[in-house]
Amino acid sequence: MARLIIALVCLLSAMQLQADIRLYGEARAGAGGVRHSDLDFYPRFGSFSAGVFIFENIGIEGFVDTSFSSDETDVFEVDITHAAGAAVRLQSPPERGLQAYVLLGFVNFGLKQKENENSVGGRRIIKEDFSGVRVSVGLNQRLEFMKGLIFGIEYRNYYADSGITVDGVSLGLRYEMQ
Amino acid sequence: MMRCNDMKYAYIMVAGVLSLSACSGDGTEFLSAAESNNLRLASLTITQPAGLLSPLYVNAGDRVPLSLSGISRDNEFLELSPSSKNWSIDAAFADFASIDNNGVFTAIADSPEPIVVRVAIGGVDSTFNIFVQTESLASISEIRGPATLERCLPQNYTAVGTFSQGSTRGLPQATWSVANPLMGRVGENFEGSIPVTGVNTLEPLQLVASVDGVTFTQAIVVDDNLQQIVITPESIETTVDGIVSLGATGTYTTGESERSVVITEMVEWQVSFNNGIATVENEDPKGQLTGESAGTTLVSASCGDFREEQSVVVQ
Repeated sequence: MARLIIALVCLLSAMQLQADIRLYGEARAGAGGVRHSDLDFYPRFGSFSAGVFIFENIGIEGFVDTSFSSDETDVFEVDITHAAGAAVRLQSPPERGLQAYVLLGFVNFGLKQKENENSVGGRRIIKEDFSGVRVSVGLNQRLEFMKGLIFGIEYRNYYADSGITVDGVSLGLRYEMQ
Repeated sequence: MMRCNDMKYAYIMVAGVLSLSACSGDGTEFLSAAESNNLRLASLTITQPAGLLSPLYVNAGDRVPLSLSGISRDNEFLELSPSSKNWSIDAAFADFASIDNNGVFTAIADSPEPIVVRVAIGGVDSTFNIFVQTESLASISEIRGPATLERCLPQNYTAVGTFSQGSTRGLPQATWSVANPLMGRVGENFEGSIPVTGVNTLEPLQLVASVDGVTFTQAIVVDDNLQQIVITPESIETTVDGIVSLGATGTYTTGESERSVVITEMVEWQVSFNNGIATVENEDPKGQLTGESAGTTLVSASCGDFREEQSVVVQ
C-alpha cells in the first residue's frame, strides 16, 4: 500500500496543474484466471477504480479488486482475495464513441489456495501476497442515453514472476465527469 | 491536443509507475502443493550422494548435492528431482550452513550440533541431519563391496575413511587401481563408486584406493566359475565393408545352478590373424566387426586367459 501511495504522489507531482482536469470512476465485474501446474481456476471478482485525466486521453488511477467467489479444480480451491494498485491510462481518441486503451501500473494482490484433501489426507491453506506489474488492454464504448457513461470490456494481467499466471476478463461501466 | 511537453510528463509517469513495480511474492508453495497432489505423494526421503555415508559428516567449505525420493500413496517408489523445491535449514544454523532451492548444501563453519535440512513438497516433508565437522583423513579403513568377483562381471566398490576426530566418511574422491593388473581392471569412478572387473583367477585381485597419499589395498578373490563364452551369431558371414554386431554370452555356474549373462561389453575382442580380412571394435560399439577384404579369419572374445574363437567369412 505504501508503494501505491508513493506512486500516486510521484505521478501527481509530475503532472501540470490544469483547469480542465476530469475525474472518472468505474465499476467492473469479471472472471479471473489463475493457472499453475496444469491447473486452471476461474474465480470471479469485482474491480473499482477512480482516476483523473491529467492530459487529453492520459489518466492516472487507483484501483481495488474484491473477490466475489473462488473456483475449484481437483482438490484445490483458489481465490484472488484482493488486489490494489495504481496505473497510468493511455487511451486512443474516440472514434464514434469507441476508444481503445492500455493500462500500465503496479499491483499488489493476494492468492489463497485451499487443498481440501492433500496426498497425506490433510487439509492445507496457502496464502501469499504478490506484487508486480498490471497490464490491461480494453475497449470502451460511450453510451448515448447518458452523457459520460461508458461501457467497456477489458483483459488484464497481473504479472509477478511467481510461476503463477493471474489474469482476467471483465465488463464494466465507467462514468467520466464532463 | 497534447503538446510535446505533455508527452514528456506522460513518459515520466509511466516510468515512475513501472519503476515501483518490482515483482515480489513466492509461488513455490502453490506449485509444490499441486506437485504433491499429482504424485499422490505419501512420504519423502532425503539421501546423500552415492559414495558418502550416513550419518553424513562434511568439512566447512564442502558442497553436497542432496537427492530426493518419495513413496506414493500407491506404494510406488518415486525418483524426484531436487531442483526448485522448498529446501530449508533452521534459522538457528544460518551461520553454519546454507542450502539452495536445488538441494545443494554448503557447509560454512563447524557446528556443535547436526544441521537439520528440511524439504517440503506440498504438505509432505522430510528432514536429514548433516554434521559439519572439519577433519583431515587419518586412514582409509575399508573398501566396501563384494568379497569375490566372477570373471568379466564387474561389481562396484567404495572406499571408507577414518578421520582425525574419529568420524567415518565415504571417500568419493578416491583414485583406484589394481596392483596386479593381469588379474583385473577398474572402470570409471561414478559418484564415488568404482566398477571392478576380474579377468584371471591365478591369485586374488589387489584393489588399491588412494586419497592424498593415503592408500589401502584389499584382496578380492576372482571365482573360476566361467564355464563357457558363446559368440553370436553362430555363423559370421559378411561382405567387404559389411558390418556385423557380435555378441558374447558367458555361462557361469554356482553350485548346481547355471546361468547365462551377456558379457559383450566386458570381453576383449580380437581378430586372430592380422591378415586384413576383418577388423573388430574394442571401444564403442564394442564387438562390431567390419569386413575388409574377401577371405576367412577368426574372431575371438576373451576374458583374461579364457578365450573363445569363431570363424569369419568375408565375401
